[in-house]
Amino acid sequence: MSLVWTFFRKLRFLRRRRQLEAEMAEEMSFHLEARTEEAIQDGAPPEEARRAAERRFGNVGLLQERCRDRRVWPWFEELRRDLRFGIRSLARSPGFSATAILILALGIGSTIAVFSVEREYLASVLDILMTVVGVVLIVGCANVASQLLARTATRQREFAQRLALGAGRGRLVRQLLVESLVIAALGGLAALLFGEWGKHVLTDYLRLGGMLNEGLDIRIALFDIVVVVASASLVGLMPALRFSRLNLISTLKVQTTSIAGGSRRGLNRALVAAQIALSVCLLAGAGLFIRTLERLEEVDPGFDPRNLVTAKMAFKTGVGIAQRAAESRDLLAALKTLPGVRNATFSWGGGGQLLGGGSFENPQFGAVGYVRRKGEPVPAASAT
Amino acid sequence: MGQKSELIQGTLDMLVLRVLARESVHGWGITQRLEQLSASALKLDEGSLYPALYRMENKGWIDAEWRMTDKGRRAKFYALTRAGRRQLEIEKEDWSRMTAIIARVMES
Repeated sequence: MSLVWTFFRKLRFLRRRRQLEAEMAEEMSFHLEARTEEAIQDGAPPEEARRAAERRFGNVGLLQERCRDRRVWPWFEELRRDLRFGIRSLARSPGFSATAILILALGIGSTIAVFSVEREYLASVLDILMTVVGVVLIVGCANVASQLLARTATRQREFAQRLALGAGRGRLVRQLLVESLVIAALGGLAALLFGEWGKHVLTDYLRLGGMLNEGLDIRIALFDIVVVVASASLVGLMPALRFSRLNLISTLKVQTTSIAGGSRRGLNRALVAAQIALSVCLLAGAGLFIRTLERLEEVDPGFDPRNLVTAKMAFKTGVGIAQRAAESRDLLAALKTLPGVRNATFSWGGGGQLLGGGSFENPQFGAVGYVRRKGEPVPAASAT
Repeated sequence: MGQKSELIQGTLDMLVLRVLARESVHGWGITQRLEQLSASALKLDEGSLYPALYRMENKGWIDAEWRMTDKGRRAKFYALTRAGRRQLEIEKEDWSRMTAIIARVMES
């Protein structure tokens, strides 16, 4: 009960933040004035009275800070500060930020574009595509991580200074996490745009309209968010772990450090190139796969496929050939007597592995076709 | 003028609640009343008063309202809530139990 109340009270404080800040300042200046007046009435010169009051009051900024912490969730205030600091520090190196955001956008965006192709068109090739998508994402994350690592290496002096000034290591880790979260969030946003563009490429150039989910799929948006958060934590923690073992004194003594050496930079470039190549492959591959499937549907089978229903069945291991033939003939006869069926037939499929498991030995497939009259419901076909 | 004592750790809330139980008053007033009530023996540090006020307001023990002082100046007046009254009773009991225990130990 009181917890809920406290929650809403804090929410209200957050909403009326500016007003409350002003009130806090007013309240404290009232206090200062009152004490000054008291001293003046006791006979002190105004200047001295004011100074004494201020001395006694202490550091007003610090006091306000402590009051603020009492009022809202301290973590919220700190998050706000971390966010502001993170955005400022990213803005200081726009080249790095833009690269990292683009890399993420490319990785997540191509995934989004491929995922928005209707699943049924992809059923057979989904596994392959998923693998490529996974690789693109992993390479993307590895890219951003290595960029961040390189950046951290060049910022070791800054971190060493902040640690020396009394910042907790946990605080710095959080700072890095917030920074990578900002990058990931921006990357995720850009990925949505890039994904939309990718979908347009699929629709316009590969003429896949109708096979794409219109609008933004909620599952894709969720996927996007999950990937963003996961990659941010992963990518943020790696450099954090690295500097948590930082030797302050030796780092501060070194004037300038260039730890991001040539070989690492070469690796970074290779990773970026690999990711771009893979992303393009992914987009083109997805489009071509679907185009092929679409073409297959247009192939003339030599008969009228309308009102045709097919079913598959498989026998368990150990059922003899004679028994299979007998059971198939019985089933066919039963199908032919169904109302609305004009004709039915079956064929034996060759041997081979069944999709999804090898528990069937030398499987047999039977296909049964029948035609129903107008207005009649399709009878349920069953397969054993 | 006698020697001024710093507050014993953990008693600030109780003392502030005690002052507010008599009347609603602003932050400056709280320091004044506390000095009067203790016959100038207690010195209340502003640096701890205001965080405590905000904390107690947050817990719902006290409520704040902007009103005019006798001198016509706008000030933030604090008043005890029902939860604050309950809290005062709790802290009073804790305090007397603790002083009794300490007294017993010291006199043994």
